[in-house]
Amino acid sequence: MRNLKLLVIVFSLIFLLLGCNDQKIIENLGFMSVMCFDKASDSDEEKMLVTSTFPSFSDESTSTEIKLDTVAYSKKEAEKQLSAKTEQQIVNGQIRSLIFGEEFASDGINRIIQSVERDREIGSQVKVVVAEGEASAILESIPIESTGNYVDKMLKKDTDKFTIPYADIHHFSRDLLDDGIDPVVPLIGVEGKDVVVKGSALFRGDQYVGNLTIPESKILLLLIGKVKSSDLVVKIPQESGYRNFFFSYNHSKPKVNVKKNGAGIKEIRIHVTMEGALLEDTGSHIKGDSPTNYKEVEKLIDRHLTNEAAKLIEILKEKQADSLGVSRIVRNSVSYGQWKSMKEEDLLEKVPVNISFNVVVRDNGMLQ
Amino acid sequence: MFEKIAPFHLAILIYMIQSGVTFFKLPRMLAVNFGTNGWLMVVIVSFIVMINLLLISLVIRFRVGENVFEIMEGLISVKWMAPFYLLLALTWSLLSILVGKDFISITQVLSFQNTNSTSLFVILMVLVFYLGMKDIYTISKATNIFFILTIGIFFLIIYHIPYTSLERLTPFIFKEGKNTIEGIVQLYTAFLGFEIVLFLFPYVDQSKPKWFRSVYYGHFLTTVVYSVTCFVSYLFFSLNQLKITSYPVLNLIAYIEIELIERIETFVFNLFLIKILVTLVLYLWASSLLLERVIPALSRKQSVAILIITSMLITLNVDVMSEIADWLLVVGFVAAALAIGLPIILLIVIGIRTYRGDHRA
Repeated sequence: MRNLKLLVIVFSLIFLLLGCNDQKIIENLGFMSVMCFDKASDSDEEKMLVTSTFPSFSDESTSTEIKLDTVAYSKKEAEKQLSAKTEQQIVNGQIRSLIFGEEFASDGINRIIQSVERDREIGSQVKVVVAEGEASAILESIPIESTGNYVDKMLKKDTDKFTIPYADIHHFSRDLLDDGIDPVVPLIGVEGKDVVVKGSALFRGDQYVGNLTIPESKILLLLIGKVKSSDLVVKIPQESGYRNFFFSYNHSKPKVNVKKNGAGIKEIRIHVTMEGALLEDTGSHIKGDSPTNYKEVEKLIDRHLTNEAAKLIEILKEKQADSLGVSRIVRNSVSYGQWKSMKEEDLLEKVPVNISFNVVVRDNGMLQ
Repeated sequence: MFEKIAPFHLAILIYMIQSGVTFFKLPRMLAVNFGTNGWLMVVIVSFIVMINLLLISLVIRFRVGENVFEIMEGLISVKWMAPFYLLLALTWSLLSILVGKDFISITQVLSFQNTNSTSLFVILMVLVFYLGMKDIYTISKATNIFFILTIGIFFLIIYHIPYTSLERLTPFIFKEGKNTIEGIVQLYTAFLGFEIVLFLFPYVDQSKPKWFRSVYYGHFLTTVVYSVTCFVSYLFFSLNQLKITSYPVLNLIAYIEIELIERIETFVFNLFLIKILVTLVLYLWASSLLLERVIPALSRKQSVAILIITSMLITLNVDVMSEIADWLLVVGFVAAALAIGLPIILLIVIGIRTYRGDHRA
């Protein structure tokens, strides 16, 4: 009996050795931190130019970034080809962001998104970014070693301040597969020698169709959800020059209302209430010592935002990108039968969207 | 005199048997089979299960101090019951082995891709064997510790609340679904495990007259965990995305990323191992009771070993994920039919015996 027990123990211990079967030695791995996708200059439409960077630990003391590129038909194929170009085994578990060149993105990026979602090594919080021009140009302009983290941190800073939309592969594929909304992702670009956040990239389905500047993105964010804290620079033309406001808000909430006439949809009303502080007003001191009139300022900002929002809707209509989720709002207010019949229509074009703002200036800062 | 399972521990035991590997796929199954707002179906099917539990409670109320075997053998002799017992034992041990295989196959999606799945499976079976050969009171005690270790995972769902949106839920109910009937069967099998209580009750501390309530409490806990998870999945994923995501619950866990730690799904998934272990062990335990009734000479160790080896041999070639899913559907369907049929048969037997007058009702 004792022998049997011993046998079982030895047997189990041998089985425990199975844990050593799948080994991954860090020194031999090349952790990709970022992948850039561009259209290959080749004549072949399907081909793409994939650029990636990863740290090289070949020298013990210093870690340097290596940049490699390759031309391939698919993401996985590109990974294998990149791997063939170095002594390291390329792995993608540490990937932080996917950067798509404008031209590549306008052909549709679903094949890449699907591939990343299917890949078990890659987590779902991988950022999706569109780059103005060539995506690989971004990598060249980033000064420091850790390229992937740089883009990631830069985007995080801005999404935290609600200046650009947050987009990772989960968000992208969620909105792509939702029949009521189109995805929006951040847009970055190169200015001079620096990488800058440019605004947001609009998609129709999985195809990049247009972009928004940062002020426009801020308004889009106000319309699609709660904003915790952000700020606006409002420029109001006056008799001479401009009156500048700096409105920092920390509470904003859109309220959606669907007006129907009979079975059809008459219009969608979005009413945004926001509350915040007025931190700059170049108008008041021009006039001298008169205190800032709250009500007047509120009205001015209201009107400004309403105009801007109307312009934004025009842009979306022109690009046919339903980033606002107009179809979704309609879907959630009609019966299933109605939705099925109107699903294919261009609801963004057909349904008028009426936007109003209610700005509350909570305080004026340290001056009256 | 052996120790008895307290009602509180029975509730935990029921919850731990019920929640199994199907949990990981549940939101997708709902999305595919029921379409929009499929999470509501969890609540509906949970009610059907409640009716099933009611039947079992009736068996226990009318049994007059007998266990399941004694009820059956009061009408039909052991000799004639033997094939039925064996069939039952085989179904349940097959179910348990298939659930284990399913778990291993998901493990291999996440890690150990290059390792032979059979060898991983053997390790799991060694664990199952060691727990399975203990008496039910010990298993119940172990289950309680496992429960404390794993229940915390459920609260990870709080992390996802900022990423959810009611707008994704849509106002449509059960639209764009594919196969409602298959969906209900699959969902029913996700709740299976409660039927083991038919064999458990002789071991439960029955000094409190309302002890059967704890079975409902256990089932209620399962319903809460299932429906909340599915509800959040419907808010977190869009419907079409949910339909193509293999393991939405794993994706949910994988989405959690804090400064300190990321990709926790590989860790959390392995915690589920001990949850699966309970399901496996309890099914094998019930099967071994049945086997020992047919061949009383067998010791617990021998019967558990026989059952494990037989079922492993039967499912030897079943190691591809789609094959496992097919087998699970069939065996799960049989097990679901048994869960409903068994208490009904027992009630009929009790009825006949009362009518004959050899059973003082």
